[in-house]
Amino acid sequence: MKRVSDAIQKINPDAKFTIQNNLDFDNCEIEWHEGTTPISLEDIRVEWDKL
Amino acid sequence: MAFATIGTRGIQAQSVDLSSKVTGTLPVPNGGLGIASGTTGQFLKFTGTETLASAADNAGKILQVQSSIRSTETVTTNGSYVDTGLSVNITPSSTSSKILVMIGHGMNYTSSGTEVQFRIKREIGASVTELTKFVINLDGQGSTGGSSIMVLDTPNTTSQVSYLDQFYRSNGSGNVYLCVNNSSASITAMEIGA
Repeated sequence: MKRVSDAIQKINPDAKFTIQNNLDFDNCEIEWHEGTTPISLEDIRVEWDKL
Repeated sequence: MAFATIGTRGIQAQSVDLSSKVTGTLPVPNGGLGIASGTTGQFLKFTGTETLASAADNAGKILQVQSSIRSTETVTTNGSYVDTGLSVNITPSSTSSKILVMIGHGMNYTSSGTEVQFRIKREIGASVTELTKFVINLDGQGSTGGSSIMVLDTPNTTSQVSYLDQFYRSNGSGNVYLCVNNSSASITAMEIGA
Protein backbone atom coordinates (compact mmCIF):
# COMPACT_ATOMS: atom_id res chain seq x y z
CA MET A 1 0.00 0.00 0.00
CA LYS A 2 1.46 3.36 -1.05
CA ARG A 3 1.69 6.14 1.51
CA VAL A 4 2.34 9.83 0.99
CA SER A 5 4.39 9.77 4.20
CA ASP A 6 6.73 7.17 2.68
CA ALA A 7 7.28 9.35 -0.36
CA ILE A 8 8.07 12.37 1.82
CA GLN A 9 10.49 10.43 4.00
CA LYS A 10 12.35 9.20 0.92
CA ILE A 11 13.18 12.87 0.33
CA ASN A 12 13.60 14.02 3.94
CA PRO A 13 13.69 11.26 6.58
CA ASP A 14 13.64 13.84 9.38
CA ALA A 15 10.61 15.77 8.14
CA LYS A 16 7.98 16.66 10.73
CA PHE A 17 4.51 16.57 9.26
CA THR A 18 0.92 15.52 9.65
CA ILE A 19 -0.97 14.08 6.70
CA GLN A 20 -4.72 13.61 6.45
CA ASN A 21 -5.75 10.98 3.89
CA ASN A 22 -2.28 9.48 3.74
CA LEU A 23 -3.16 6.81 1.18
CA ASP A 24 -4.57 9.17 -1.45
CA PHE A 25 -1.98 11.44 -3.03
CA ASP A 26 -4.53 13.46 -4.98
CA ASN A 27 -6.69 14.23 -1.94
CA CYS A 28 -4.23 14.33 0.95
CA GLU A 29 -3.63 17.37 3.17
CA ILE A 30 -0.09 17.92 4.40
CA GLU A 31 0.89 20.14 7.34
CA TRP A 32 4.57 20.84 7.89
CA HIS A 33 5.78 21.24 11.47
CA GLU A 34 8.71 22.31 13.59
CA GLY A 35 10.41 24.34 10.90
CA THR A 36 10.46 21.60 8.29
CA THR A 37 10.96 23.07 4.83
CA PRO A 38 7.87 22.14 2.80
CA ILE A 39 8.45 19.77 -0.11
CA SER A 40 6.59 20.54 -3.31
CA LEU A 41 3.81 18.22 -4.43
CA GLU A 42 5.67 17.73 -7.69
CA ASP A 43 8.72 16.36 -5.87
CA ILE A 44 6.55 14.18 -3.65
CA ARG A 45 4.76 12.89 -6.75
CA VAL A 46 8.07 11.73 -8.24
CA GLU A 47 8.77 9.59 -5.17
CA TRP A 48 5.14 8.48 -4.94
CA ASP A 49 5.33 7.09 -8.46
CA LYS A 50 8.44 5.09 -7.53
CA LEU A 51 6.76 3.39 -4.57
CA MET B 1 -58.39 7.48 90.06
CA ALA B 2 -59.88 10.53 88.38
CA PHE B 3 -60.94 10.69 84.82
CA ALA B 4 -61.64 13.77 82.70
CA THR B 5 -64.45 13.68 80.31
CA ILE B 6 -64.61 15.88 77.24
CA GLY B 7 -67.89 16.35 75.69
CA THR B 8 -68.20 16.08 71.93
CA ARG B 9 -70.87 18.71 71.67
CA GLY B 10 -68.38 21.55 70.87
CA ILE B 11 -66.53 19.64 68.13
CA GLN B 12 -68.41 19.43 64.95
CA ALA B 13 -67.40 17.77 61.79
CA GLN B 14 -66.94 20.43 59.16
CA SER B 15 -65.64 20.53 55.65
CA VAL B 16 -63.17 23.03 54.23
CA ASP B 17 -63.63 24.27 50.72
CA LEU B 18 -60.05 23.86 49.44
CA SER B 19 -60.88 25.27 46.05
CA SER B 20 -61.97 28.69 47.32
CA LYS B 21 -61.07 29.05 50.99
CA VAL B 22 -57.38 28.14 50.79
CA THR B 23 -55.03 30.36 48.84
CA GLY B 24 -51.29 30.54 48.35
CA THR B 25 -49.05 27.50 48.72
CA LEU B 26 -49.48 25.08 51.56
CA PRO B 27 -46.13 24.14 53.16
CA VAL B 28 -44.95 20.57 52.87
CA PRO B 29 -45.08 19.90 56.68
CA ASN B 30 -48.75 20.93 56.60
CA GLY B 31 -49.55 18.45 53.92
CA GLY B 32 -49.02 20.69 50.92
CA LEU B 33 -46.44 20.70 48.15
CA GLY B 34 -44.91 24.09 48.86
CA ILE B 35 -45.34 25.08 45.21
CA ALA B 36 -48.10 26.92 43.41
CA SER B 37 -48.09 25.03 40.14
CA GLY B 38 -46.08 23.00 37.69
CA THR B 39 -45.95 22.29 34.00
CA THR B 40 -47.39 19.35 32.14
CA GLY B 41 -44.91 16.50 32.02
CA GLN B 42 -42.94 17.62 35.05
CA PHE B 43 -42.53 15.59 38.20
CA LEU B 44 -41.92 16.41 41.86
CA LYS B 45 -38.68 15.88 43.68
CA PHE B 46 -37.50 16.71 47.20
CA THR B 47 -35.04 19.58 47.23
CA GLY B 48 -34.71 19.51 51.04
CA THR B 49 -36.22 17.68 53.99
CA GLU B 50 -39.40 19.79 53.79
CA THR B 51 -39.31 21.23 50.29
CA LEU B 52 -40.47 19.99 46.94
CA ALA B 53 -39.94 21.37 43.47
CA SER B 54 -41.17 20.57 40.01
CA ALA B 55 -38.60 19.48 37.46
CA ALA B 56 -38.47 18.26 33.90
CA ASP B 57 -38.94 14.53 33.49
CA ASN B 58 -35.62 13.95 31.70
CA ALA B 59 -33.10 13.30 34.45
CA GLY B 60 -30.68 10.64 33.30
CA LYS B 61 -32.22 10.40 29.87
CA ILE B 62 -30.18 10.60 26.69
CA LEU B 63 -31.54 13.73 25.06
CA GLN B 64 -29.56 13.61 21.81
CA VAL B 65 -26.67 11.82 20.14
CA GLN B 66 -24.23 13.27 17.62
CA SER B 67 -21.61 11.13 15.91
CA SER B 68 -18.95 11.29 13.26
CA ILE B 69 -17.01 8.55 11.48
CA ARG B 70 -13.73 8.92 9.67
CA SER B 71 -12.13 6.33 7.41
CA THR B 72 -9.01 7.96 6.04
CA GLU B 73 -5.53 7.30 7.35
CA THR B 74 -3.81 10.08 9.29
CA VAL B 75 -0.10 10.06 10.09
CA THR B 76 2.07 12.37 12.14
CA THR B 77 5.69 12.72 13.14
CA ASN B 78 4.98 15.95 14.99
CA GLY B 79 6.00 16.72 18.56
CA SER B 80 2.96 18.77 19.53
CA TYR B 81 -0.77 18.25 19.33
CA VAL B 82 -2.44 18.08 15.91
CA ASP B 83 -5.98 17.20 14.93
CA THR B 84 -6.64 13.58 14.05
CA GLY B 85 -9.47 14.83 11.84
CA LEU B 86 -12.09 13.40 14.17
CA SER B 87 -14.51 15.87 15.74
CA VAL B 88 -18.17 16.29 16.63
CA ASN B 89 -20.45 19.25 17.39
CA ILE B 90 -23.37 19.21 19.83
CA THR B 91 -25.63 21.96 21.16
CA PRO B 92 -26.89 21.12 24.67
CA SER B 93 -30.57 21.78 25.34
CA SER B 94 -29.86 22.80 28.94
CA THR B 95 -26.95 24.27 30.88
CA SER B 96 -27.29 21.45 33.41
CA SER B 97 -26.86 18.68 30.83
CA LYS B 98 -23.84 16.43 30.84
CA ILE B 99 -22.10 15.36 27.63
CA LEU B 100 -20.52 11.92 27.36
CA VAL B 101 -17.85 11.90 24.66
CA MET B 102 -16.49 8.59 23.35
CA ILE B 103 -13.73 8.09 20.79
CA GLY B 104 -12.36 4.88 19.37
CA HIS B 105 -9.74 4.29 16.72
CA GLY B 106 -7.05 1.86 15.64
CA MET B 107 -3.43 2.92 15.47
CA ASN B 108 -0.01 1.75 14.36
CA TYR B 109 3.65 2.63 14.89
CA THR B 110 6.59 2.13 12.60
CA SER B 111 9.23 2.18 15.33
CA SER B 112 9.57 0.42 18.69
CA GLY B 113 9.17 2.60 21.74
CA THR B 114 7.21 5.29 20.00
CA GLU B 115 4.97 7.01 22.50
CA VAL B 116 1.79 8.84 21.65
CA GLN B 117 -0.37 11.21 23.62
CA PHE B 118 -4.05 11.72 22.92
CA ARG B 119 -6.44 14.29 24.26
CA ILE B 120 -9.97 15.54 23.83
CA LYS B 121 -10.18 19.27 23.30
CA ARG B 122 -13.39 21.22 23.84
CA GLU B 123 -14.19 24.42 22.00
CA ILE B 124 -17.06 26.76 22.89
CA GLY B 125 -16.64 29.78 20.66
CA ALA B 126 -13.13 31.04 21.33
CA SER B 127 -12.89 29.22 24.66
CA VAL B 128 -10.64 26.14 24.41
CA THR B 129 -10.28 23.54 27.18
CA GLU B 130 -8.31 20.30 27.40
CA LEU B 131 -10.67 17.77 28.95
CA THR B 132 -8.57 14.63 29.24
CA LYS B 133 -5.42 13.05 27.88
CA PHE B 134 -3.51 9.80 28.06
CA VAL B 135 -0.35 8.16 26.80
CA ILE B 136 0.08 4.95 24.79
CA ASN B 137 3.37 3.17 24.28
CA LEU B 138 3.21 -0.06 22.32
CA ASP B 139 6.42 -2.05 22.27
CA GLY B 140 7.60 -3.59 19.06
CA GLN B 141 8.04 -2.30 15.55
CA GLY B 142 4.86 -2.23 13.56
CA SER B 143 2.71 -2.60 16.64
CA THR B 144 -0.96 -2.16 16.11
CA GLY B 145 -3.55 -1.50 18.75
CA GLY B 146 -6.80 0.13 19.53
CA SER B 147 -7.28 3.20 21.60
CA SER B 148 -10.35 4.71 23.13
CA ILE B 149 -11.02 7.86 25.09
CA MET B 150 -14.09 8.77 27.11
CA VAL B 151 -14.93 11.78 29.18
CA LEU B 152 -18.06 13.04 30.93
CA ASP B 153 -18.21 16.78 30.44
CA THR B 154 -20.43 19.49 31.92
CA PRO B 155 -20.03 22.37 29.48
CA ASN B 156 -22.64 24.54 31.28
CA THR B 157 -23.88 26.15 28.07
CA THR B 158 -26.59 25.97 25.46
CA SER B 159 -24.21 27.18 22.76
CA GLN B 160 -22.64 24.81 20.25
CA VAL B 161 -19.82 22.74 21.73
CA SER B 162 -17.11 21.13 19.58
CA TYR B 163 -15.10 18.14 20.74
CA LEU B 164 -11.87 17.44 18.86
CA ASP B 165 -9.60 14.40 18.98
CA GLN B 166 -5.89 15.32 18.94
CA PHE B 167 -2.62 13.43 19.15
CA TYR B 168 1.13 13.77 18.81
CA ARG B 169 4.29 11.72 18.99
CA SER B 170 5.47 12.43 22.53
CA ASN B 171 8.53 10.17 22.39
CA GLY B 172 10.45 8.02 19.92
CA SER B 173 11.12 8.44 16.24
CA GLY B 174 8.54 6.45 14.33
CA ASN B 175 5.49 7.46 12.38
CA VAL B 176 2.18 7.31 14.21
CA TYR B 177 -0.81 6.22 12.14
CA LEU B 178 -4.50 6.45 12.94
CA CYS B 179 -7.20 4.76 10.87
CA VAL B 180 -4.49 2.47 9.51
CA ASN B 181 -5.20 1.36 5.94
CA ASN B 182 -8.28 3.60 6.01
CA SER B 183 -9.93 1.68 8.83
CA SER B 184 -12.72 3.49 10.66
CA ALA B 185 -12.62 5.68 13.73
CA SER B 186 -15.58 7.31 15.42
CA ILE B 187 -16.46 10.01 17.89
CA THR B 188 -19.82 10.16 19.64
CA ALA B 189 -21.26 12.82 21.92
CA MET B 190 -24.39 12.08 23.98
CA GLU B 191 -26.33 14.72 25.89
CA ILE B 192 -27.59 13.35 29.22
CA GLY B 193 -30.29 15.17 31.14
CA ALA B 194 -29.35 16.26 34.66
